[in-house]
Amino acid sequence: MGDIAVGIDLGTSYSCVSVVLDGKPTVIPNEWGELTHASVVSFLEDGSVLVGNSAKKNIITNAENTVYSAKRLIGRFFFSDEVKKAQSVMPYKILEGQNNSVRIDVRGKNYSLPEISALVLKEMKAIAESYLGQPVKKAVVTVPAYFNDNQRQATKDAGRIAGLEILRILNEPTAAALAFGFGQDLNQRVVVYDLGGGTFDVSILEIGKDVFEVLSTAGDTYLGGDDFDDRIMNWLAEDFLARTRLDLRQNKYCLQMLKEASERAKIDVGTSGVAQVHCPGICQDANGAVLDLTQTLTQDAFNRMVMDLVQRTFKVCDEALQSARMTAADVDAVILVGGPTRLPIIRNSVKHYFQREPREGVDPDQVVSLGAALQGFALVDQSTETFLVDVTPLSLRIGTVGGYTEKVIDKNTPIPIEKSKTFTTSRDGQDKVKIRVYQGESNRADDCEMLGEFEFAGFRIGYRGDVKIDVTFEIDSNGIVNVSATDQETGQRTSTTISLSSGLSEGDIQKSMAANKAATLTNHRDLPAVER
Amino acid sequence: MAPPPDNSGKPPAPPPGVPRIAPEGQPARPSMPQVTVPAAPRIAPAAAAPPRITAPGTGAMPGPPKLTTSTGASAPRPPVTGAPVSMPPKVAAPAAPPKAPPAGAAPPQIAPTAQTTVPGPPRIAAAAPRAAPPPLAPAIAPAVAPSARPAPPPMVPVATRTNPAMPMAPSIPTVAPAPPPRIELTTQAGAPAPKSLAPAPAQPAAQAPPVAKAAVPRPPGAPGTVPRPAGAPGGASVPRPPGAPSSGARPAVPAAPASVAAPARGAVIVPPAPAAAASDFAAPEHITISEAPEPTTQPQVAKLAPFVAPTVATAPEAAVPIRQAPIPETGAVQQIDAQQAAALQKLVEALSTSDYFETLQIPQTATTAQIKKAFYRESRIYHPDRIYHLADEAAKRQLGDLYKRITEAYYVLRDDAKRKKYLTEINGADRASKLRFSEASEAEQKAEVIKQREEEFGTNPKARQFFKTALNDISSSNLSAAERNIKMALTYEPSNARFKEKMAEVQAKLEEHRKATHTGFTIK
Repeated sequence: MGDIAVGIDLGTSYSCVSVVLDGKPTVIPNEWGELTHASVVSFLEDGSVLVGNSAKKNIITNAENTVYSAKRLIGRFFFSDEVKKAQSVMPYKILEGQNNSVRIDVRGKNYSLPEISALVLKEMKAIAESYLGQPVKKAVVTVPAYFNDNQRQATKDAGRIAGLEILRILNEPTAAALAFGFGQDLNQRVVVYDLGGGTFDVSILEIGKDVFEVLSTAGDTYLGGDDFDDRIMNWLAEDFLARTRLDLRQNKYCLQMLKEASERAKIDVGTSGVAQVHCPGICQDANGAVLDLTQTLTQDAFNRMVMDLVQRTFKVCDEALQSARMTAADVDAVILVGGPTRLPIIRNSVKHYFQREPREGVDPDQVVSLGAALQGFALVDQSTETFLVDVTPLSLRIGTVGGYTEKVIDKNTPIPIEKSKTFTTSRDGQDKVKIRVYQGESNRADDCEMLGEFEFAGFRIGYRGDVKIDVTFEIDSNGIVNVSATDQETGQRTSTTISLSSGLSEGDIQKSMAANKAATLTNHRDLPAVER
Repeated sequence: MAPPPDNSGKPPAPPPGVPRIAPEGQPARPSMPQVTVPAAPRIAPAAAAPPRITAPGTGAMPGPPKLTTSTGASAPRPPVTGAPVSMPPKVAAPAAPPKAPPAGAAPPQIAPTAQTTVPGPPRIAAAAPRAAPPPLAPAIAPAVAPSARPAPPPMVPVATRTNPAMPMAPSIPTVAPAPPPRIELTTQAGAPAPKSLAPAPAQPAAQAPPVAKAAVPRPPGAPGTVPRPAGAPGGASVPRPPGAPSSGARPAVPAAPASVAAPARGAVIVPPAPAAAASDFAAPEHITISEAPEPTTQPQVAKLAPFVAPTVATAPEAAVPIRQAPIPETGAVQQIDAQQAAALQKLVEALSTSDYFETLQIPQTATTAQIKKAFYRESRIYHPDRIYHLADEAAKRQLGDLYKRITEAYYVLRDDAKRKKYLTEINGADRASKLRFSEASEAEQKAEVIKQREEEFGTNPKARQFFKTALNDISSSNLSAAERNIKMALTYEPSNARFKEKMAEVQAKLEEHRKATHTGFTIK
C-alpha cells in the first residue's frame, strides 16, 4: 500500500480517527473496539503516558497528572478568560510560560498545549497504525470553524510534534458536510449544527454537486457540552451545600467526582428522561462521617437548567443565517454534530428553529472524522472530485493608532484570499512601524484577539502620512494567516507567517518532536511495534 | 459561466448534449469550414497579440484588425453582408455559451473545428504556429454561426451590453474572411457549404478574437483540435472548455482529441502547426473520426443551426467566451509542461489588467446565479486541492494567486452593494487603478451612512421637523400642506437635495391634481 492519510477529529472531550478504505470512509476502532477516544492524557509515575478512555479513568485517581479539555486552552494567551476559568476548575497546574503562553505542569515537567494535543494525536496515529498495519504519516485534522489563527497554528504544531504531516486543517462543520454530501450529487443548502464538548459552531453550506461552498460560519468557542455538565454540577453542589453546608467545589477530588457524575447524569437524562445521581463517599464532614451524594435529575429540571445555553446556540444560528443572507426556511437539511446534540432538548429546539427534522443517519460523534478522512484521501490519492470552499470565520484586522483596529478581511470571506490595504506613518521621520494583527469583530483592539505583531523597517523616511505602506493579508486553505508589508515606493518588503507570541518557535517544535518520539504510549506498550 | 452544467459543471454532464452536437457538427462541417476560416484569421491576430484574452476588449481589438486583413486577403468575404453579419456575431457569442452545456462532450469537438479551420485557410497556415492556439476561437465561431442565423437580432443587443470588450465591429470584417475559409473547408470536406451559412461565419469571426486569446493558453490542445472538422461542436466547447475534458485521457487537451478526427484532413491542408499536435492526440483523433464521417451533409448543418439558436436565446450572457484553462481540467495536477507554464504565466500576468468580471469570465450584467456558477466552474479548475501534488513551486504559487483572485472576485461580485460600487469604479475614468476592489474603511462607511441619513431628513432640526410633517402630509395625500411644509424646510436648508426632490415631486402631483379637477384657475 502506498501513502495513506487518516482523518482525525481532535475533539475537546473525545477524538476519533478515520480512514478511507476501498473508497468508503471508515472509523478506526482501537484494540478494544472503541470508536471514540477521550482526549485525555495521563502521565504515569513510570514516565509513560496513557491516552484515551483508560486515561479518563485517571481523572479522579490521578487528577493532578491527568490533562483533559486541552483544546479549550490551545492557542490561547495566559491572560485570557478561558485560561483563568480553567485554572480554577482544572485539577492540573496551569502556568504562565514565555510570551503569555500557557503551559501545563505535570510531574515537575512543563508541557505546552500543542505538546499535550500531540500526545492525543500520537495515540490516534498509533490506533490507526495498529489497525492498518502500516505507518501513518499524513493526516487531516479538524478544528472548530470558529477557531482563530492562533488556535489553528497551535493545532498544526501539535500535528507536527506528533510526527504527522498535516495535509490540511479542516473546519469541523465543513468536514461533517463533506461526509454527509459526499458522492451524493446534492444540490442543497445545509446547516451544520455542531455542538461539541467545548465549542459550538454553525456553518451554512451550499452543496452544488462536487463543490461544497461554505456560505457563512458562526460560533462560540466558550460553549459546549462541558457547560451543560457545569450546570448540573453547580446544581448538585448547591444542593449538597444547602443540605450539609459543605461545598464540594472546594476540593479538587470531590469536584472531579462531581464532574463525572454530572456528565453521566446528562447522558442519562438524554436517553431515559431521568437520571439518578449517586456518588457514594464523595466526602467526609467535619466529624469524619462519610457522606454520599444522591439526587434525581428530571428532564424538566435539566431543561430549565440549560435553556439559556440552548438559546445562545440559536443566537449564533441567527448570525450565521444573516451572514448567508438566508432565513431558516431556505435550509434544505440540518445536520447535527457532536455528542450533546443527542439530547432531546437540543434536537427538539433545532427542529423547532429550522422547522424541519434534523437528518437521521448521521452519527454525531463520527461524522467529522469521516469527512476529514475523505479530504485526506482526496489529497493523497489525487483523485480530488470534491472541492471545499471554506470561509474565514473572523475578520482580520490591523492595529492602528489609539488602540483601534481597521478591518482588512471581512469574516465569511471565501478562502484562500489575499487583500491589501494601504497604511501610512503616524509621525514625521518614522523609520519603522509595528504591525499588529488582530482577529475579531470589534474595532477596538482590546476586544479582538491579537494574532501577532512584527516590525517593518527600511521604507523611505518621510513626513507622517507621506509614506505609503501596503499591508497584505493572505489566508491560505488551512485558514492560516500570512501577513506581509511593502513600501509602495522602495518596494522594500517583509513577510511573515504570523508567529503568534504565545506559540512555539521552530526550535521549540523540533525539541518537542524529539521528546514526543521518546514518549511511550502505555496503551500500546504490549503491541508489536509497527515499523516506522 | 454560460455552461449549462452549473455546479455539476463537470465534464460528465454534457454527455447528452454531446452526442447531438457531434453528429450535427459533423454534418455541419461544411459550415464549419466557414467558421474555421474566420477563426484562423483571428487566431493569427491573437497570437500576435498577447495570447491572453484577459481583457475582452483588448482581445477584441487585435482580432478585428486581423480579421480585416484576412478579409482583404479573401475575396469571398465581401459577399457576406456586412450588416447581417455583424448582427450574427453578437448572437453567435451568446449562442456558443449556451450550447456549451449541452455540448458538454462537444467541447472537444469544437476544438477540432478550430483546427480544421486552420488547415482550411492557407493563409492561416502561414500563421500556423500561432494558429494552433486559435482553434478554440474558430470553434466558437462555428458554433455561433449556426446559432446566429436563427436568432441573430436578439443576441446582438446582448452582446453589446454584456461586454463592451467584445468587438462587434471587428466581427464584421471577420465575416468577410469567413466565407473563403468555408469554401476551402467545404472543398476539403467535399461537402457543399451552404451559402446561407456565410453570414453565420462572419459572426463567429467577430467573437473569435476573444476566444482566440483564450485558446492561446492551450496551444497543445489546439493542434489536436485543428484536425477536427466538427466545427459546430467546437463552438459549443468554447463556452465551456471543461466539458471537453470529459473526453478523458488528456484533461487539458481533451478538446483537441475530439477535433483530431478531422485532423487527418486538417493536417494535410495545413502543413504548419497541427502536425505535432496531431501526433499527440492520435488516439483522440480516432474518436473524432468516427463521429466525423457521418456528418458532412448540408442538411445536417441546417438542423444544427436551429438547434443552436434556442440555446442562444436562453443564455445571452454566454457572450463572454470562456478561456481555456492552462492546466488540465480534471484529475489532480502533478506537473505541467512548458506550454502550460507559459499559458499560466500569461494568465497570471493578465490578472493585473483584468477586472473581476474578466477574471470570472462573465458579463457585467451577470446575475448572482451566473456569478456563482462561474465561481464554481473556476473552483473546479483552480482549487488548491487539485495542485496539491504539483512539484513546480512557481507554478503552484501562480495557480494559487490565480485562485485567490478568483475568490476575491467572487467575494466582491456576489455582494450587490459592493458590486454596484465596483461597477461604477471600473467603468469610470481611472479604471486601471480600480480593478481591485478596496472597501472603504469602517469610519468612512459609517460617515457615509450618517450622511445619507442626514440627507434624508436634513441636518437642521427644524427643517427635519417640517420635512417629517410634509412626509406625513403626503402619505395622507394632503398635498398642499405637504408643499407648504417642504417650503418651510427648504428655508432652513435651501441646499438639501432630498428636500428639493420631494418638493418637485409634490408640485408635480399638485399640478396633476389641479388639471384633473380643473381647479387650476379657480380662485378660492
